[in-house]
Amino acid sequence: MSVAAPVRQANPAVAQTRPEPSSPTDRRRPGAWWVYVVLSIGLVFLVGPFLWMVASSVKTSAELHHVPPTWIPQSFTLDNYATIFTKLSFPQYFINSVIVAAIVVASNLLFCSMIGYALAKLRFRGKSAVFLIVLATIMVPQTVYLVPLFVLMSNLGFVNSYPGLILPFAAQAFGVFLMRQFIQGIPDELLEAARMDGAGEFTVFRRVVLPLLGAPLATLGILIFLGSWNNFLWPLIIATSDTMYTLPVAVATFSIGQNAVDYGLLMAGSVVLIAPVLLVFLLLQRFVQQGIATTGLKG
Amino acid sequence: MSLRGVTSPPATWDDLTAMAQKLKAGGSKYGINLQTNDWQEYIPLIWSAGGDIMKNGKFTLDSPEAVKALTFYSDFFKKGLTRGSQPQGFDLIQAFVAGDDPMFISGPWMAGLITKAGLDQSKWAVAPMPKGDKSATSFVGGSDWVVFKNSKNQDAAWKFVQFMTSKDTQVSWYKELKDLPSRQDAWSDPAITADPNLKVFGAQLKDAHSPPNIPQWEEVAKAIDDWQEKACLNKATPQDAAKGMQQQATQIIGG
Amino acid sequence: MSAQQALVASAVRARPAARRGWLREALTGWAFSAPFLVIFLGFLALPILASFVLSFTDFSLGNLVDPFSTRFIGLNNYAKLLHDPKFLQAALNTTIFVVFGTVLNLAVGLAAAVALNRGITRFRAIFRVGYYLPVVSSIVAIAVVWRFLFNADFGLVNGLLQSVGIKGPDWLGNPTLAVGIIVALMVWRNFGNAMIIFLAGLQGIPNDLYEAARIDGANRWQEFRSITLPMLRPTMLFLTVLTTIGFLQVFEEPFVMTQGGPLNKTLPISMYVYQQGFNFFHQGYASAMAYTLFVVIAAITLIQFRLLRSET
Repeated sequence: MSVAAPVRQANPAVAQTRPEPSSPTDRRRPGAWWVYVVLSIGLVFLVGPFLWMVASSVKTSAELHHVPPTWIPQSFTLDNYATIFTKLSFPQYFINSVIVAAIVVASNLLFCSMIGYALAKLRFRGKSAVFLIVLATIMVPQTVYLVPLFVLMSNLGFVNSYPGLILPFAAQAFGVFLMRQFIQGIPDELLEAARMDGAGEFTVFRRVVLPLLGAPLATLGILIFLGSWNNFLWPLIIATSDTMYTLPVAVATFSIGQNAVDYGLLMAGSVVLIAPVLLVFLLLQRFVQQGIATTGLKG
Repeated sequence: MSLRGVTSPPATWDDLTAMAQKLKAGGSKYGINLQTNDWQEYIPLIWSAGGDIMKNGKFTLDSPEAVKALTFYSDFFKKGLTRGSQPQGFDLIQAFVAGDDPMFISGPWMAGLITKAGLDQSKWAVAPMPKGDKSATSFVGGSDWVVFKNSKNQDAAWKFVQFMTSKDTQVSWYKELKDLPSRQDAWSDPAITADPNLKVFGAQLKDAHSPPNIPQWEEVAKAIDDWQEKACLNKATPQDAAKGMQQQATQIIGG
Repeated sequence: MSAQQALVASAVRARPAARRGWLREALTGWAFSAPFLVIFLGFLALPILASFVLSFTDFSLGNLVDPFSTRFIGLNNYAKLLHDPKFLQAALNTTIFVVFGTVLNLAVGLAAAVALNRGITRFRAIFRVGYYLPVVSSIVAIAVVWRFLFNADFGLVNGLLQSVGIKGPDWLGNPTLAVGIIVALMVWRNFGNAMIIFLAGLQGIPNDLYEAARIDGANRWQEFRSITLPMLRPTMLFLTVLTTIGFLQVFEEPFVMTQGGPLNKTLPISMYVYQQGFNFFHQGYASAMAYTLFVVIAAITLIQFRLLRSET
């Protein structure tokens, strides 16, 4: 699901980002034991499939088809991983995913903060129109523009290429919204002070604004990275040969193939697909959850 | 196949049903593997019954022959002789080797996969399509070579087509990819005559048809798939399903 | 424009020297916006507009080479939609997905948030992270695993059922069960977002309210009904809008799990648009369908915003 929300109406309850410490009343009423149990069972349902994926990726084909299915791997083999990295072109797919994600994140961080600054702090005619148009596109479902976008890419010669994979996502409306929101909170006096010292606008932007954008930039970067890494539909359409596949396209294509399907390979491929994202998320989840809570966006 | 009293391949449609029933009664999960929504398995039966997909530019998907074929096909499902559904990523080879789905309709590339899965050749064989009222016709697909009218390299393209369709290239191609050669003289090459399974396919090729060459075929095929599924899952009678195919196909080509 | 800005603006108009400053600022504003706008307008706004135009034509495969040979056919595509049984089925499917999905998504998200916020005092982080994992994972990988888990022959679910003596059904081969599994997958994957937003909402509820209630002798359930729920109404409305918009566009889950089947009962509108546009190349028709979906999304958003505004 990839959704961004339009401007939030006033709800002070959600505007807070800093998680409050346990309320004083909790000290008198510790968590009921059954809540822990229910939550833990829930956790099993949520995390279980991931564990199953990892466990299956190291089983042999025979064990995978064993009825009844086994939980803990009885056999252990790294063959599946070896195969996808040597016989199938997973290194290529991995590199494609990395390149696309890196450039998309970089361009969004830079361009969204620039236009966010302009919309938040500079005055120019047509400003509100620009912001409204950008905002309106958030509501447009992806399926609306896929077809003309493909025709456009075809005419530009970008089918099955990196520009084709990158350009449609190099400037995301959600990023503008996020940046503008945060930059609005920067006191004007700081900017005025820099201007009075003779700084040009770009210097003001670079020296005063950017350094203050650490947290939102991190949040935006992570969210854009997640979106790009997991992006499936457009790469499926624009990559017409497997040299340009990204990881999701590769795994999906192998999973609905006509011939015999090797579940071991598929699970190994899925682990490779998910691992980087989980890593990034586990290390930096604080930014993600704060960002979501503040603006209630993107997943 | 000599287990469970089956000693020869099914020669007619009735034989096929009987064989499927024998295999299931003998202990297999199913008697045959058929798909609810794959026109490639259903359409050949129309040909074998004496009908066709199109005649003189009009569809004939609701002809009596077509209805007969669809009734025969969907009966396998209604009698429980085949799976009700095949989820994405269903491993037919595994099911075949395990004996769950002891029969299926497919092409030569499956032969290599079965051997690779470890099943000894003595335990399985290839047989031609069973005979319907008129013939024992199969389906042949593949790819076509096309040189574009607006191409700037028409001569080179044509040279390439000639190269790809030459006897030697086709034999090498077969050795690499197991795609059947389209040139008849390529079939006399030892690489191909040596394979007993291939002989059956070669013979079948003499009576095999392709779907009509219209630009909307993909869409028509999907419509056929949808109605075929309805008939197999008993959401429509074969008569109604055939009529549905006919109506939708006609509408697609703007007729 | 605030009063301050109006004052400045009128002052600026009065003095030519300051007008140069105005121009400079405007140019800077556009300069900063330019990189984003160029990409955005070229690769997003333009296609969106083109799609609108396409929806009134019979653009199809033949027109890819010569786009201007396509013909205008007015509202024909839109009219055709109303008589297209597959579109009507897809619309029904999408409605089912949205209604059940949204309700469950919010319910589970709320339950998890309340449990984490007031029900437990330790291990919050573990649960919060764990419950959010599906949100950040690739749908492709998840769908592949779920398909494996629900495999009728050797999947874990039927294996577990088998061990207690129940013969598990063919989950994805049965139209009704398949719809259920898709909805379950949609909720499993997305409720983490709802949970996070509810958590933020919950933390904004002043503790005095709960204190007062406790003094009055209310138990937890009464607290929930009289304090938590009412205070969360804006959040809930907001999440309903969000979830509805997202689920109206559902594509990946059915695409990877069932390809729209069986019997097209799990085919959502987005996927039918994809089929028409990229399998059959009826791009004019596909555009009309996509825009219809857009109109529905816009309408629902506006309606729910009106409701939201009247709440706060």
